[in-house]
Amino acid sequence: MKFSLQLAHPAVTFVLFMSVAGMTIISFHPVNIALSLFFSLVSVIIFNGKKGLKLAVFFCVPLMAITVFLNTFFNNNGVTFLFSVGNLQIMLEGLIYGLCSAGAIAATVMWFSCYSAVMSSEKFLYLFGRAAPSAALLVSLTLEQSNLMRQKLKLIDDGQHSLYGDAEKSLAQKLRLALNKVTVLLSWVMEDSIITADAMNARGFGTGKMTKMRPYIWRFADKTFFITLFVFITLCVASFFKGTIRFDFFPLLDELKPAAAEIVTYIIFFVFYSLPLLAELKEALKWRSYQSKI
Amino acid sequence: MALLSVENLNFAYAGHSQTVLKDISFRVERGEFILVCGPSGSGKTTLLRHIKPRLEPVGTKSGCVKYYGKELDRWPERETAAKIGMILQNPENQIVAQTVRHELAFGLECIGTPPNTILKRVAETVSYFGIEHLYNKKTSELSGGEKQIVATASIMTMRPDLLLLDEPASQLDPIAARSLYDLLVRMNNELGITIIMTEHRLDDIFPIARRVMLMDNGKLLCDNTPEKTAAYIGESENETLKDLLPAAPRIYLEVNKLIPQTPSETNKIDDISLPIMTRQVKPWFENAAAKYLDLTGIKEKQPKRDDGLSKSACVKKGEDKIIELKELHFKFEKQGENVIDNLSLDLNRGEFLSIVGGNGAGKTTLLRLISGILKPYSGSVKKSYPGLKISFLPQNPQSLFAHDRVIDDLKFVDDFIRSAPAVKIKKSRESKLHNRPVTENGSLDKLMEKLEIGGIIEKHPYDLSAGEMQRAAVAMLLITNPDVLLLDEPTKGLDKHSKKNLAELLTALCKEGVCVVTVTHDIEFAAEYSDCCAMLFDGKILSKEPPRSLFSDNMCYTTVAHLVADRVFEKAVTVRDVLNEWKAHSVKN
Repeated sequence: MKFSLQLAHPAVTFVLFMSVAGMTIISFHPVNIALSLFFSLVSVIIFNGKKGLKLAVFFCVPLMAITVFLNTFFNNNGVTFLFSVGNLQIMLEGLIYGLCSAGAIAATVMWFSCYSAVMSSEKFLYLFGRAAPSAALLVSLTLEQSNLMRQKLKLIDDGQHSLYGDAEKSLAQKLRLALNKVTVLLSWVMEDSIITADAMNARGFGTGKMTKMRPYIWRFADKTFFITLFVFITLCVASFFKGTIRFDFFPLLDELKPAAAEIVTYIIFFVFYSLPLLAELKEALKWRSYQSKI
Repeated sequence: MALLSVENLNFAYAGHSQTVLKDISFRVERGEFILVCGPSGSGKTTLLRHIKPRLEPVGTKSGCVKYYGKELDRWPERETAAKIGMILQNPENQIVAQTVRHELAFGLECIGTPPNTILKRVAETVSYFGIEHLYNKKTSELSGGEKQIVATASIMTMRPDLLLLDEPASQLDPIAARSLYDLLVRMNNELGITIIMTEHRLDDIFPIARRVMLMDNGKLLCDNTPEKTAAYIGESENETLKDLLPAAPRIYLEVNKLIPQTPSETNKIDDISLPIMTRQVKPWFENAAAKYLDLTGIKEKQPKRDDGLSKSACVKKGEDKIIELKELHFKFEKQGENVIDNLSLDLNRGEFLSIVGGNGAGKTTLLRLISGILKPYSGSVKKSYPGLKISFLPQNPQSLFAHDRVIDDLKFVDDFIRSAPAVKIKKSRESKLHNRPVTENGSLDKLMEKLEIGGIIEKHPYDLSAGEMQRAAVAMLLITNPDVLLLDEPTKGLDKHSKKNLAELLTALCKEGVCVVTVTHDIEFAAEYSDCCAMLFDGKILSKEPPRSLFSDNMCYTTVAHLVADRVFEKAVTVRDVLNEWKAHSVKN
């Protein structure tokens, strides 16, 4: 399945996910984090399907549990005493702070998972390749190499299995053989990279300044989406500086006072975090109405 | 003006006194299609690299290479980078980018082409090559053949005049190789691109090249049309050179020697040129057979005369059987197709079995199942006794070498085997220890002597030729005293002479009782050297027969010799068979 964000200009996708992840970390406000966590969870399931759900359940939940545990038990900067376990005094502030950091970490992880679902490394390189072509190429070659290394390791395992597979080995021998495998892999990779270097040289690499192909163009839809995104980022940052989305945990928890300004801020953040989903929703609706016409 | 002229080129690698290129001179006009052939180590690759600026090897050089009358190094680097393209041997390593799209643009990016032009050139090339289906793929998803085609296309975006190819198809299967050759012929015919290539698959290339250069020991021995170079090779005294001759002209040449010559007919035997196409040799052969042979009763006589023909010859019974594959099934995914589907096969002591089959038939998977690396989904691999040792040589012998010298690798394996004489055997959930036959002192020396690898053991494994590397890898496996030796595509990248050496080695092992199993695309190799052949198709072994019976039944998936001679000698599949039959039927005067 192709997502509309996959078809968008890479700059749009990049700025979108970086800003939602960034905003989650910048403002430690319980409402902000709750919104981010909720939308990142929905997005990760939409963009990554079963894999996204697995990430949430088997990685994010344990990660959150650890963060909450550590903060509750070892962060005693607060003043509101809840109960004590042995010598440890458990404070309400620590617990709430733990919950918020856990939410922020989990949300960031899930946002990045969405990012990687729609943004290939090639798109990333396209964005930054013009500024630093050699560095971008190096990253690309390294990524490619790791792929090849995995294939080679499989073949090496096959070969080593024939030579040493069925023998009874001591621990020292096992270590020696593991080291052997690494040596085989390294010399093989080195040898091959000489050929890659030849192939690059043959095509004129290093003869001067490189240019960059532009396979992506700014469509009208990209422009409007980018402007919308930009407006929301500005509003979010402005409300952060205005103080409507700030929250102090220590020594005493701030109270959530839902005045008009705060409610407007919450709505802005609500829409902001739903932007990745709105982009897909818009596409889905458009297709539906288009389909009904044909 | 000539596109390229090489004038009195001499070259020796830095730090070596031996000259690799000796006084080489030739001219290349625009639009030529040149094959450079010769045994391994004859200097073909070195010569090609001298024509490609920036890939020129380091060493002492005299003489010069001129491109359009001007010496190569006096051209601007970017111009020659674009105008002289080079494709290397290994498809895996010459791909630079992660996506096909970027790969195609890479060369143009390097030489600073404006972005809009890049996209247009890429689009044009993709359309010409018809690789739209690959354009949006990642390069890691491509097959070897597709990678070589993308590599060729990515050179074409730079609009070269001259394309140099260094054994471009040596790592490919025959079908992929042929589509690459077709592409080259098309580029040469339609676009007038000059092509200079080296290759080992001479049977395929001789008919499409328009000029063939023969090199040996750094010297350019012959530079002429394919027909005339074939004749030169045929006349050569040197065995290594003679092995280069493709099957069709070889039959023409050898049969001609058997024909009683009368003065009126000598003009028919052209010493200076040999026909190279099967379609030329076939009618000639049939006519000559009708004229000189007594073919009465050939069809009835044949099966009795050669008992190696009966299909049951390969199915031995009793104590010879060492491995029995019983109704094997295997698949990689739960929902996936069966890669191996209800396959049953017996392996016998001292047997040389070749399993042939196309791409994706499950050949490698089968070997990995036999060797125990993979476990069958259902069915069993039954060994005749528990301590039976099976050794598997993967496609890339590189995967075995961990040291800087071959001898260090051999010694390492030897020491390991000595220090771990017990073999773990899993049998119904408990592992038992079995002792290996004790390796005698000095057995390593004996092995090296037997394999004749004394000359290469001091070298770095990566400095060896493909054939030598294969041999060194086999030596490592033999230290473990295998009862069964499995080889995955052992002839990949080997020239005919190295194949012959490998086959001699394998045959010798069979005589000692080792069961040798190769899986291969190379039907010529399978037909020529193995005792039994089996065809793997759709995960099943269709039949296990002697090569003569298997390939003589086939009409297209068979050897060149059979294609030439099938109407006369129904059962001949190798050049040797054809000549033997001819001798048996020729009228004694």
